[in-house]
Amino acid sequence: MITLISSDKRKFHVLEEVANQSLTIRDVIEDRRGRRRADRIILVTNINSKIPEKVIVYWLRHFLMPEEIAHASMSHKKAEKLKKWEAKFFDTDIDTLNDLILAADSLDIPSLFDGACEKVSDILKNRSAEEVGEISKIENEFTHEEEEEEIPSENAWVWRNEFA
Amino acid sequence: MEYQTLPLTKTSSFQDLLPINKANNDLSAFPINMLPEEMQIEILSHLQTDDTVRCESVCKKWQAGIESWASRPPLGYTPQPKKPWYFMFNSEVPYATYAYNSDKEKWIPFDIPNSDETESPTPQLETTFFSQYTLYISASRGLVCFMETRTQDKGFVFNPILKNRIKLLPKAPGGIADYCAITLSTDVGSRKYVVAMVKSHQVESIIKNNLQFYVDIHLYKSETSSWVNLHTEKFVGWHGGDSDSCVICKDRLYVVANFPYVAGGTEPFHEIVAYDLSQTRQSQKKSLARTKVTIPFPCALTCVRLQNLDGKLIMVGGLPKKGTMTLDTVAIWELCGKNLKEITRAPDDVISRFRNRFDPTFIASGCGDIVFIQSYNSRALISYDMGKNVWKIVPKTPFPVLDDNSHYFSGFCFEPLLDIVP
Repeated sequence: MITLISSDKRKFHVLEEVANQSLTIRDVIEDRRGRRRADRIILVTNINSKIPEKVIVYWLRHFLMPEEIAHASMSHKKAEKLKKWEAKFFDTDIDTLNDLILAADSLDIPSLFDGACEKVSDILKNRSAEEVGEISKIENEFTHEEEEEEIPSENAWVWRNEFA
Repeated sequence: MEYQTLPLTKTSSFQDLLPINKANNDLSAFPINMLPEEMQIEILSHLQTDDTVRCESVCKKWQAGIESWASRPPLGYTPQPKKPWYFMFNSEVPYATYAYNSDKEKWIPFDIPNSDETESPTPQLETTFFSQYTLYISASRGLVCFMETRTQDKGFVFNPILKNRIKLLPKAPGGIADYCAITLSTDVGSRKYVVAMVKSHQVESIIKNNLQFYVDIHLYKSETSSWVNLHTEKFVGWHGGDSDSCVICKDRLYVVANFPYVAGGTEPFHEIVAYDLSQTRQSQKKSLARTKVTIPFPCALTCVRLQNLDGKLIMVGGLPKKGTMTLDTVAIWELCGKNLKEITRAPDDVISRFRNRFDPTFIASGCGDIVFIQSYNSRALISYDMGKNVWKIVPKTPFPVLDDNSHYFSGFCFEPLLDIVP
């Protein structure tokens, strides 16, 4: 059992095998192997308690259904179920999603990182550049001329997408 | 200090574990700006290609980020597989070229410009690259290779999305052969590619109906930018290298061998010959013959196409009606060990599109989980999804033609990738 401590000082006890899904934690545990029990406490100071909660839930779900098994032998029905669960898991508010991406990155959990990125990318699907700019709160620094000339001629097909 | 222990038993329901989100789940706005720049770009790689390209014009940071994928991938960047597109072109006026986006299930006008101006015939209105050349075509992941059929030495490799093209130099060796086939194999991880070319010459002889062929295998590696003649073999009774009938899969080269004079019989008149290319790394020429493996065909087929789908060797073949060359249906096999295992046959309602044509020849081209099968002389296109086990009729291409029968159509399947250049 290892203990994670979040930035707001809450403790989370997790089985080592479960937490190993984070490559960062796995490396830390590996480094400290054979030492005292106190060393099995890991500070995750850059994230608040809400995120470890979510991350651990994600770990548990995936621990019981590791991905390698998931792809090789999972029945279609089970795969659908996991997909549904993930959709629900990532159906969350902006801040959480944002923190999840950061946490998945710093704890190095590739599948969680990819899942969260996928969810955010869904928001940008089938949108014009203006809409994407609005959604992502990014100012367009292209001058009007640049926009008119350069991009459409380079990738004309993208702008003709209305073709049925 | 407060302790929290989460349940670890298998019986606990995960639905209960999901934290209840009281917050506003409306994601109509997501300030991606809050994330570090690499992560913003990472998110864009999860989009399908056309959406990513559209995002290029959102801000300069994104544009630079996306453009840099092609030349140098940032550390930790993982290329996301994209749903394949199918490119189709015709051979008669009015010329047109379209791409089918299988993610959005629609056709878009899509051109592959002729950048080879110096050698192109007098520029004419209403021509395309494909009206000027007849080509052997092979696609692998994000790259496509063309080889001119007339001279059998002028080749190009390009990314259809990024439109940058390179000429395969030096010119391909071997002269003009009786039969020629090419295949491209791209490794997305290392961004290296290999082009293999199989050429068959009939052995000159005074004997009538001479059935001996020299088969040459040439290999072009992007690493060394040069052609190597790997292997020459004399085949008795059959030849290799019909167009579209060789493929590289997991470092092995598979070539369909034809017995040319027994067509029409009920016995199989093809077989697959496989060579292990990994053995030739240290330029041991002799060893290629030693690695030769012959894979027999399950039955007589009218048309054979080999494909590499994510490391699986897939064969698409036309099953003729008993005792004739008329196409009955199309079936797909997978190579398991040394045997071809039938996976599926096109159902009647799907194949009826092909059957009423005079010419039963078709081409097959696939990527990821999807195989596209197109009849040469019609724009009918069907697809088979290996993951979902579903046959589909693709909506008709919007070619500006009225009479399909007078036209010749062709095409290929490719993965629309922004992160690979030849």
